[in-house]
Amino acid sequence: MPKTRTAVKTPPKKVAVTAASLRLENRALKRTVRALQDENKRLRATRGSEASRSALTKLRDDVRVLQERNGELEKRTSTLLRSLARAREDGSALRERVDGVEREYQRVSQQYVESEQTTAFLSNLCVASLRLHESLEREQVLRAIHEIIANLIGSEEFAVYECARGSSELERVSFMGPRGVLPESIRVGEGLAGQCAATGEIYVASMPTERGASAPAISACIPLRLDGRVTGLVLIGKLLRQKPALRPGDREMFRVLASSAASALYCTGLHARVGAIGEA
Amino acid sequence: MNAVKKVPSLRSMRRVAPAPDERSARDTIPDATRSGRVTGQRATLPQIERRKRILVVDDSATALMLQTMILSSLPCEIVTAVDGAEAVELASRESFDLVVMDMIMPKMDGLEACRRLRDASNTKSLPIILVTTRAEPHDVRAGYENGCTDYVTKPVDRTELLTKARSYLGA
Repeated sequence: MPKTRTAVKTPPKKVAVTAASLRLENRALKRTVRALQDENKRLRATRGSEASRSALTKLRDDVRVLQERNGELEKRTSTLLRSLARAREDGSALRERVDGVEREYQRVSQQYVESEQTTAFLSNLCVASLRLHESLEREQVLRAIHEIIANLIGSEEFAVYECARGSSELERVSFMGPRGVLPESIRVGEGLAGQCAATGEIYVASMPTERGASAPAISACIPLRLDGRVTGLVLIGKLLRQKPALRPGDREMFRVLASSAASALYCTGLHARVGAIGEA
Repeated sequence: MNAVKKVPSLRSMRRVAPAPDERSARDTIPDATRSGRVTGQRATLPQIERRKRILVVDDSATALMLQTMILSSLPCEIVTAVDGAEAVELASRESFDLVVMDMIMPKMDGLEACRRLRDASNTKSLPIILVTTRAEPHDVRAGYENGCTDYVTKPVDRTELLTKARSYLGA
């Protein structure tokens, strides 16, 4: 509104409004009105045209397609959500199975370790038994006893004693280790070894549990029994440095020694007597 | 060893075990009272691959029998010898993948045998596990200084020996 603007901005007294300027202004306004009317006509003509109708149809089609697509996507979303829920259930079931397999693995590993220990223990017993009974030569049997104690039990300080029938004294027939540590003879009923010989019971020393504590001087005392009678004795002193204590398997080995070594030594005596009779 | 009563040493005799198919059940218990060979369980490796061979050396028939029994669970051929001299002689003629050897033996001890094996061109890189009752630090050091690859103390622990043997054999 130029007139109003002029009236506001310029005080009426100072403005020289001429008829020529008003006419010019009027003409300019008329041109603007005409341009607007032409634009209006053009727009009205375009609104009903084929191009605009097809564009509108296309837009409607596009909207429909998008709506369909949206429906599909919603269906897929719900399907995927259901799958996800199932997968979560399967995942927790699988986790339970993995935990179960893990527990089974631990159990089998433990069994494997135990079976390995049993195998080792049986191997030792088998070797000891085979070695004790594979010769009729006294020296070989004594050597076998030495090897069993050194290699399978783990001591290099021991002695083997034998007792003549009716005698109350056990005589040392073989030993390994420093002299003077183990006695040359043992009286039945006297001392630790003598008591073992009297009762026929195997003695196994309790091993120190504290680190650095001194090991017992006698680790084990094994009476050799045959036919209910004590025929000899194996006295085991200190164990090897790397063997801190006797194991449960060693006690079984002592039982094998107690019976098999006694019979093996007895057989060597019989064999020698048979040989002597044969020669005579 | 400070044995006062000497016992005669075992005779050195070579014995070759029959093929596994021909062996009877009784033969599955290794007779290691003298030098010989014992074949362990069948190899699962392809036939084209050479069967691994272990040389077990010990003057004690009991230790030899036990170690042979333990190592028989590996898919290997086991050859035994009763002293260091025999071991060195065997290793110079035949090919082995591992030697399991006692330290204290008559004729030639394990340390001397280790040195000889390390000096020979065909056995200088052969893995040697020393098996001994001696566990003092200076004994262990002596073992390594003379060329052993590993060290196992007696009484032999089955799992330890098998684990070490497997690691050197790649089995």
